[in-house]
Amino acid sequence: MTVPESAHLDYVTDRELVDRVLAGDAAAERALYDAHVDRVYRLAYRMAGSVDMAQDITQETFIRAFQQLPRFRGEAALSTWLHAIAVSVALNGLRKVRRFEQREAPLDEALPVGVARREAEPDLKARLWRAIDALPTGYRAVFLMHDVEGYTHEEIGTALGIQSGTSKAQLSRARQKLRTALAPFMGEWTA
Amino acid sequence: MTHEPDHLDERLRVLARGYNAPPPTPREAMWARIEAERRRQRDAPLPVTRPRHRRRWPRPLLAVAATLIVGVGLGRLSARLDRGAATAPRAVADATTDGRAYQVAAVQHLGQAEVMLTTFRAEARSGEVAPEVGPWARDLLTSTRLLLDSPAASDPRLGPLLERLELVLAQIVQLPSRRDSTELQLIDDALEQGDVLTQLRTVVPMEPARQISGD
Repeated sequence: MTVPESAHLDYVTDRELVDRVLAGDAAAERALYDAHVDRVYRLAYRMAGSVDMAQDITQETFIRAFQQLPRFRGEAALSTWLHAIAVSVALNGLRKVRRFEQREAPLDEALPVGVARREAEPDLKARLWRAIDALPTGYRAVFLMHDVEGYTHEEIGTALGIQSGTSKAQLSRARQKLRTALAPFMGEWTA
Repeated sequence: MTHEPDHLDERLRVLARGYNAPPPTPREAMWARIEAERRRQRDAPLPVTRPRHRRRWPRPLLAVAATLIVGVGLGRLSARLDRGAATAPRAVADATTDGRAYQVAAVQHLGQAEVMLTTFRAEARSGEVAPEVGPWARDLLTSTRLLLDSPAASDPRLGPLLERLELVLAQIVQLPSRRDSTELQLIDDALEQGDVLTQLRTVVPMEPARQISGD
């Protein structure tokens, strides 16, 4: 079994790892990348929905992170700091490209809650995904980070530059919008 | 009928996990590109702060940076930053050494950002944001990012504030031409909760005849 070069760095703290990177330790650089790239890539892909864009976002995140590493003060976890960079890069990239996967039909957002009308739409997932696509950018980011990727509200707050209470409020609004969009399927939910 | 929001939310979450489900991380390929880009930065004959094709700074923006650095009031603002230190304002020549010039430029820039955000917030709360706000925010975002690449970002007060400002400006710049009231509320919430305007007003020195509208 091949032991990765960075194995000896598995148990160092964030601060120690950053100090080693700043001192020019190549193995520490790779260790930092290995420790965080999966979660950064997952977040990038969730937000972008495209392999090329997700790789772009991830690469740009780490390039910026290495450039800005002297500014890392350790007040937040290194992962949180990295994810803040990733979200900033992702939002900026999405603004420029504005790519959403084309869904089959436009979403009708005017559906009133509680109406017992059933639609003959076989693909509930597709409807949910269109509804997620249609969320305002910030709500979508909070929803994906919390409900899909498992970030805490504190981590989301740091990444988006908001208080954790605001993150909770935005998540609640995002869920409400999704419930509204899926109202015709309420019968299935409670079955 | 009992409304079961938690039940609905849990089922939504289960389904939502399939949304843009990520493939395996292409670690090695991305690391190779990151390393290549960092080597290119190190070997580049001129300083490169944003190496990606999206991050080229055209000459007009470099001119903006130069203007920021040698802007009017350099000596007066420099003296304000030295509260409690010795007396006379530094000479312009002193003020142009490394970090000091960038700090001064950053403070000037933050003052402009404060004006813009105060305007934006007032208009957002009234439900109508003028179309010129977008380009205004975009210009400020560009300058913010220039400053984040400068020694000003190392300042313990200015660095974090520039980072917060970047996030808020990026959100404003992303607003679609059809301004959804929900999105405006979102950004207003972010300004409120992140305390950005208060922090800006703390850093930016008050000019004698200047009126700042309260929140």
